[in-house]
Amino acid sequence: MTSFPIPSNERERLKELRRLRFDEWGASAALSELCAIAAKLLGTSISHVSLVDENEQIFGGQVGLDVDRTAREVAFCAHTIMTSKPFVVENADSDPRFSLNPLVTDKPGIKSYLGIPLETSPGIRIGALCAVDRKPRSFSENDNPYSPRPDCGFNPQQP
Amino acid sequence: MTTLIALGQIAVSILNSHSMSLELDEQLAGAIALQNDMLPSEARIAQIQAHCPLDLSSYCNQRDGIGGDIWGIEVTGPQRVMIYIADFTGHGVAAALNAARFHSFVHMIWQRTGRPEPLLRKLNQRLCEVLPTGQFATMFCATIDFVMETMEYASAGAPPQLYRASSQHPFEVISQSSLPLGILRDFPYESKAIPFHAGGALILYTDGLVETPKPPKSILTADRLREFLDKADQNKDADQLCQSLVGRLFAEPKTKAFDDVTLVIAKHTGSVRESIIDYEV
Repeated sequence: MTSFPIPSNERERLKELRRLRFDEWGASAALSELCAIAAKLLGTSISHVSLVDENEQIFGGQVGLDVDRTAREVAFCAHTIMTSKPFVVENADSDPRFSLNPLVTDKPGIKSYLGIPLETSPGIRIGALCAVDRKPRSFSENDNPYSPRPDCGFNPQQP
Repeated sequence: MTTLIALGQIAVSILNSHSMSLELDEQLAGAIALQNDMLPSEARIAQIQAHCPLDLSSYCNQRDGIGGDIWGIEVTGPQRVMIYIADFTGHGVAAALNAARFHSFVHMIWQRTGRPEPLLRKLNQRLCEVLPTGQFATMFCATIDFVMETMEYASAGAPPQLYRASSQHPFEVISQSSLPLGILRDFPYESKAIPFHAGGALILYTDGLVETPKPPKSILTADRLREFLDKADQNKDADQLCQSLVGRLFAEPKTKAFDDVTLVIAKHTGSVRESIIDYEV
C-alpha cells in the first residue's frame, strides 16, 4: 500500500519519463544552474528539479542538497505533480501531511516549500521545480522582487 | 511565484533538449559506424597487402563525426590496384550522404573501367545528374601496376598530391588542371602514366590536411608536407609515416581541424608476389 498520491494518468506519466531518458544523463549542469537562479530569486537555501519516478524522486539538478534522490513516499513533489497549479507549504510543522515527514523532522529540515509542476504535455507532469526553505515562510509575489515585467509577454497561464 | 513558473518552463525545455541530445548522439554514432564501414576494412587491406607489394596506411577524421571525405582501394587486375580519395563540398550529414552515394557509384563503375580517366568521366556524368548546383567533389585516382612498375593517375580538382618514383627519388607534386566532379558533364579528364618502382610512394590527402588550422596558419602546407616527407626516415613503414604526419599536424593540443582530414599513404615495398588476389574486372 502506497503512502503517496498517484495521478490518474500515472502510466502515461512514467512512459513520458522513460522517453526523456533522465536516468541516462544524470545530474544536469544546466538544471542545477536553473535551480541556483531560482534559489537566488526566491531567497531560499535549497532548490531542485525533481523527477518523480515510480518509487523515488530523482534530482535532475539541485542546489543546497547533498543527496541525489529520495523515496517518493517522502517527496513533497509527489504532491506537486497532482495538479497543474503551484504547490505551496508555508509551514510543514503545522501541516498534518508533512509534520512527521523525515525530510521535515530530520535533514534537510524542510519547513517551507514551493513546487512548480513540470508539464511536458497537457496533464503529463513528470516532476517539479522547487524552492525549499529551512524556515516557515510564504511565497507571495511580493516576496519576489524579480517578477517579470507585466509587458514582457510572459503569461504563466498560457505556457 | 510567476518567475518560478517561467523557470519551470525553461526546466522542461532543458529536459527535452537532454533527451533529444541523447537521441541525436545515438543516431550520429550509428551514422559514423556506417560511414566507417564504407572505408576499406583492415581485413581487406591485409588481404590486398598479402598479394601485392604494397604497404598502406590511412587516417580519416570527419570534422563532425560524419562528412564528405572518402577513400578506397580496389584490386583491378593481377598485381594491379586502384586507389582513390575524394572530398565532397560541405560538412556533416549532407556531405556524408553524398559520400555514401559516391561510394556506390565508384563500386559500380570501377568494375567496368579499372582505369582512372574513364572512372572519373563516368563518375562525373553520374554526379552531374544527381548533385544539386553548388555541390561537387574533388577526386584523385591512381592505378598502380606492380608488374609494369607504373602508376596511371587522373585528378578531378583534387589538391596537388605527392609521389616519388622510387626510394632514390625525392617527393614531387603531381597535379592536373581539372574541374571537380559534378560541375561540367562533358569535362575531358585525362590520365597520365608515370614510373612507380620499389620504394616508390604515393601520398593522397584531402585539403583539410594542408588547411589545418585555417590558412595562413596551416601547419602542413603542400611544400612543408613534401619537405617533411623528404626528411622522414626512409625505413619508416606507412603506418609510422602516417602517425608521424598526423602527430605533426596535431602536436599542439589546441590545433583544431576546420575541415574533414584524410590522408592515405601507399608505399611500393619491392618484389612482386606470385599469388593473385581475386579481382572482378
